[in-house]
Amino acid sequence: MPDSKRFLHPEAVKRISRMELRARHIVEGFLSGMHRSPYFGQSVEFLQHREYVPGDDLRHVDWKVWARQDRLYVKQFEEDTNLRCTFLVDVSKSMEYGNGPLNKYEYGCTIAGSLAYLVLRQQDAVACWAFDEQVRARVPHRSKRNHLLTVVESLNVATPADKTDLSGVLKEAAETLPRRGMVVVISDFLSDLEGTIRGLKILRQRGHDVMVFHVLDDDELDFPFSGPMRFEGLELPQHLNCNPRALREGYLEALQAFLDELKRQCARNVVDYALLRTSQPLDAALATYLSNRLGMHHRN
Amino acid sequence: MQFLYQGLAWGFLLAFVPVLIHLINMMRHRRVRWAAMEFLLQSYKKHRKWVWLKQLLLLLARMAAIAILVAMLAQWITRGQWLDFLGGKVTHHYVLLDDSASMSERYGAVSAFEIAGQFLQRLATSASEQPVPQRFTVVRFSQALAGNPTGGGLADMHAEQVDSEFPQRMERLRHSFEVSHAAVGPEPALATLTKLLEEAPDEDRIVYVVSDYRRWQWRQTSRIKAALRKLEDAGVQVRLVQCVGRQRPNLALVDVIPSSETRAAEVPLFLDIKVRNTGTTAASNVAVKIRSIFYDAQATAGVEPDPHVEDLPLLLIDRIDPGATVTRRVQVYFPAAGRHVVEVELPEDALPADNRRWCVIDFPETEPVLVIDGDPDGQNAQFLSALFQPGVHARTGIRSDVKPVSFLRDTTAEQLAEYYTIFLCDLPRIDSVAVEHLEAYVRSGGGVVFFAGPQWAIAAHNAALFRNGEGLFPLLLERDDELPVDELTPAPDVQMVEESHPVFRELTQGANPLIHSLHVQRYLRASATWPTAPNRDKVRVIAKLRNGQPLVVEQAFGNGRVMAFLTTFAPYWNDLALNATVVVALRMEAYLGAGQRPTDRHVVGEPLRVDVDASEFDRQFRWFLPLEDDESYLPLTRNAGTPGSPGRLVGQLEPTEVLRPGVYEVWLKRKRGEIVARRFAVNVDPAESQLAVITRRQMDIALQPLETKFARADAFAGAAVATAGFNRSLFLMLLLVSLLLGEQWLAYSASYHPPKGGSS
Repeated sequence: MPDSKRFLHPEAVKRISRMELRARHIVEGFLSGMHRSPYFGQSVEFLQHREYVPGDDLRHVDWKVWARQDRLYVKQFEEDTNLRCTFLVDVSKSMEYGNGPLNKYEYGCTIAGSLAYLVLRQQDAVACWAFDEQVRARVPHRSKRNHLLTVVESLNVATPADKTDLSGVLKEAAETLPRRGMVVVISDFLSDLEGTIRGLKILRQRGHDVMVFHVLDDDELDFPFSGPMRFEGLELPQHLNCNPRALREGYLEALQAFLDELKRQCARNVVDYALLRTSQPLDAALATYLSNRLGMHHRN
Repeated sequence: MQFLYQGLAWGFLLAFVPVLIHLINMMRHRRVRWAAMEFLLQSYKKHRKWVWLKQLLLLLARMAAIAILVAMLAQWITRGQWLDFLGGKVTHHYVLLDDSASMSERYGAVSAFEIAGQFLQRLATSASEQPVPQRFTVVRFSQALAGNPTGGGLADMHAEQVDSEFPQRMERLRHSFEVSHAAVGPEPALATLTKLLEEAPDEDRIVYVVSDYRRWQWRQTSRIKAALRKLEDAGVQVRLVQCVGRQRPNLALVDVIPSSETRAAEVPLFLDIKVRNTGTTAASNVAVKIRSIFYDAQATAGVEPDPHVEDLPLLLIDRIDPGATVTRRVQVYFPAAGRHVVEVELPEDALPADNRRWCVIDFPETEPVLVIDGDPDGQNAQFLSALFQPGVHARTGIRSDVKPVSFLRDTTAEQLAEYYTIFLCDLPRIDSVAVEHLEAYVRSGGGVVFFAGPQWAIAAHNAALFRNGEGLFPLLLERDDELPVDELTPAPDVQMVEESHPVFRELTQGANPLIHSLHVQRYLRASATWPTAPNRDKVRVIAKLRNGQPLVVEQAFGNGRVMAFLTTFAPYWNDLALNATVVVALRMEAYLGAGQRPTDRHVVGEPLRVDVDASEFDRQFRWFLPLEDDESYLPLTRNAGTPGSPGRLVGQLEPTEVLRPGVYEVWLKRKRGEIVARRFAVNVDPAESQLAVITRRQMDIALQPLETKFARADAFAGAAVATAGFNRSLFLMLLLVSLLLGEQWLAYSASYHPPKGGSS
């Protein structure tokens, strides 16, 4: 792992308790680790010059300055602030599971905070919904830098409900969000898959760019348990006493089928899908985001 | 189910440990609050039955693995054949143990039988150390005498499993064995073995014939070889184990025989004692102890026989050469009637079994004889009675019972049977019934002597008594004739043809035999055609007259004997009754009465049988078997049976109950309360005294072409047990390994193995 990414690892992030600091830490760490100029959007309004560093896009080199001073400078532009990004963050009971430094809930919130910071830094507007079976907290779109604190505080839900109604929340978002924008859904998607797909489809029909961050714990993806165990449902009332090794194969088959279906449906509906493990460094989400943002521009 | 190490069998409880662990695991499972329950439940529903089955099989496999491990450690032994079916076999040792009398031969401190016992112990110990399952069957030769059709009933130990405690059991068993003193060879035991072998045809069978292997037993080996060949053909290994070494000096009491003389109370009786030197060196100054054992009326008054024992003077035999038999005559005397006993004992030597011998002699008050006299004056009867009962100071032991001729017609066979001898003198015509009675009497063993005389009805007797050679009388007579005096030829009137005949033996000895003093004037002449008669070959002429005419003839008739004097007993036609030669009448009574004096001769290993009138005796017979201390008895009360004839009561001691020499006694209670004792002298068969043993070379020759192994007991050590056979422990180990592999596969299949890279 490169030194720069070491600070983005969940174990390192876990040590930062405040979410806004955590988001700043991640985003700054991510950007400095990229060894390239900050991405300031697609605006053409010139902002300033900066000395070239290896890795900068040569397209942004100001060749005129080079001809005069024999030094390489790149041009930086002021970005547009017309992006309205809405974060839908799953804070249900199922998100509380986690065996690593961060559970799914923490990981999801961290991703949401980090992306919000990134978006706000680009002077775009950010809104955030925290939901379980209904929307628990709703933060409207703002583009001010101090809006991050409001976003982060909204994610702190004291008593999440046992159920997740993702389809309802998505449907509500589609109906509520007035303008086309970007919708980032962060969830484990352990709810009605059909309803979820239907909700995503509606969002896409309304012209939103939808990005899905599917957060799962390593245990859920690998099912490494052994020995006699009693599994008690976080959202379902059932429990099961079993030898997990005996059920592992069937479990993974069912999970993989679920993931495949989700991915397939996302792809079909032009929804960006990213599966994130809670043990993964958090920059993955940011990289995915930025990559998808570029893709969106190319698509648009 | 049996185990070599029985205590380890408790380890089978460990088979329940997997169940216990399973139950404990079910109780102490780890709790996890799980989000993706839906997928888990899907998997559970899909695989539930298969997972259950695998877990059950896994549990059973683990339990079975522990059980097999315990079975291996405890050395499991089974009676069942199922492991044999899988290819495994039990090694079954069949030991045929010779306990005949010759096995009591001593070698210093131990006897041949004890050496055999030591071999048996070594064999048992060695067998108990073998990994292959072993069984033991022990049959003594004497037990095989019983001839029980179910072989197992004859065995002292039948198909017993060998375990760690087996040597102790074997030690107890062999200490309970005693030499039987029976003269029994290996054949009955081999016959019994054949039945036993049929019970377990699928085992590895080894037969050990543990014996002394005397040479005399192996002179005729055809039947033994046939039995051994049959065993070899059946796949049985046969090992002949010899327990004795070189031949040792030994003297044997071969026989004690009462002489053929009148036996009666207060009449001395001679006994012939025969001693044989069966060793290879001469024996000298052999002191023979003789005891008379007298049973008076009080002998049956107590709870067991109470005889009076009297030591007679020692009989000293100067020298007995090797292989020679010396006969010495001694006289015994008993003051009262009864079945008395004479015991003879030799000095201690290598074989104690043949150093003592017993003889039971029945002494009646007197021996009654019947005298029928046709002489109108009864002279013949008078002279005979005077001879038999000479007076109060002289006792012959004979009581004459003088009856008229008509008695023969009116009597019964039972009445006649009471007489030891019947004297028929000067017999006139008798009817056919009388002839039938007489013939029946002689056929059953009685003795009849005819004396001729003037009343002799020649023609009638030729027809009725001679009956063309088929009748009782030995000669066809022609007429009475005179033997003229021949002054010129000084030949005696009577000439003996058989000088050693028991009746005339004393009269013919010496330079001037007494028989020469007998003068005959008249006699009955045999017919000229008699030499061609059908019975001529059966008739012996004992004495003849000077003119060559037969005077005394003898004929065997049935089991009895008939003698005919062709002259009178009274001094009508001769001077017999006036001469010293009159003693021939006493000798005649002793000789012809022998059939009425049966001497019971019993050897060890034969049944003892008592047959009495059921109307006269109670059913309950009390037997007394001699014990080793000679002073006490083993009482045995048994109800007699009525096999075949309801009018008879038959009691019997089986061969296996008559395995000790000595005097056996049975008390029979009459209906009126009186107790009658019957005694039996049971002696060791003299054949057992022949101690010459067969050598290895002789045995090899005798056994050819059999593959039977023959060796001394000390040469058959533990190696004898190390035989081919299926190692059940090995099989169990293979089973265990297979089971453990199966368990691993099941565990892997049931996903009990940790995943690669560790588990949570």
